[in-house]
Amino acid sequence: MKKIIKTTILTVFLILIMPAENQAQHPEGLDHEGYYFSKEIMGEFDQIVDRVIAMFKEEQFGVVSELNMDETLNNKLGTQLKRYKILGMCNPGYAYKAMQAEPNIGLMLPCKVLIREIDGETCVVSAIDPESTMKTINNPELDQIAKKVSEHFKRAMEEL
Amino acid sequence: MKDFYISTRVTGADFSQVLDKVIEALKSEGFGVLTEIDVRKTLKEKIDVEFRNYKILGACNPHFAYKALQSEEMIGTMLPCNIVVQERQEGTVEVAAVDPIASMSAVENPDLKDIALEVKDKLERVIRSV
Repeated sequence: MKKIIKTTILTVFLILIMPAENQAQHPEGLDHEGYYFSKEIMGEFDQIVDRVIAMFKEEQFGVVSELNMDETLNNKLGTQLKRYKILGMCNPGYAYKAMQAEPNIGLMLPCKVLIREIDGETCVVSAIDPESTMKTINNPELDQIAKKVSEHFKRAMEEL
Repeated sequence: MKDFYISTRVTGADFSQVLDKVIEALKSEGFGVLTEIDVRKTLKEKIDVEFRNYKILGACNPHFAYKALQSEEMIGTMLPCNIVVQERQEGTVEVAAVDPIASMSAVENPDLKDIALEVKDKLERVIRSV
């Protein structure tokens, strides 16, 4: 029930702040599986990466780590993976609060956002949903922080 | 509280020496350190707070990472596996590794569980050797 109310509020908020043409461009498109938000985006890989970085920046999250998993694995194992980038996103204020609530939460930080190349014209962007992954720790204080971060991530993903 | 990590505490030790030892131990289990975040430095620079010595190492064993990606393409949202080295009080350094079984429990995929178990074994050996 809480979730429905939250989603409704968020949807109303997004409708209010989004110009009509943007809504038409990205009608639904955001998948929310158990542990991540995901969206298929048309466009060139590097441009999508830039857009992801810009959208998360709008939500006050900066990139603190960047990993090209395809390069790492292709070099080490001789595989032929398509582009697969893992960005570590961090908002220092939330990270600080989370580490005060749970000293070892650094084990789940920074929060990851993936950009995967499907073909030359399509990529899939997926962001972890910390509200769902950190729930397993059973720390109510941490849950509150994770919930806020998930709201930021959801918004960044919807705006993408 | 359910533990989501495996950890040990080293007393009478210097932070950077423990850090080096952890990196070596990871290497001998086939993990390379792909990312290293200096939390103390980042927090000081970004929000001007004093924080204890705290490093987040992102470790990756390419064989396991590849297997994990093959069975769950979104698993990159949980990679690389993190190891935290932090100074809990002067002279006491805690080393913790994520328990992949616990952290990947949100993912319903039986193939992934087998891989997570193998990785957990390796990370446990790393923690024991520090």
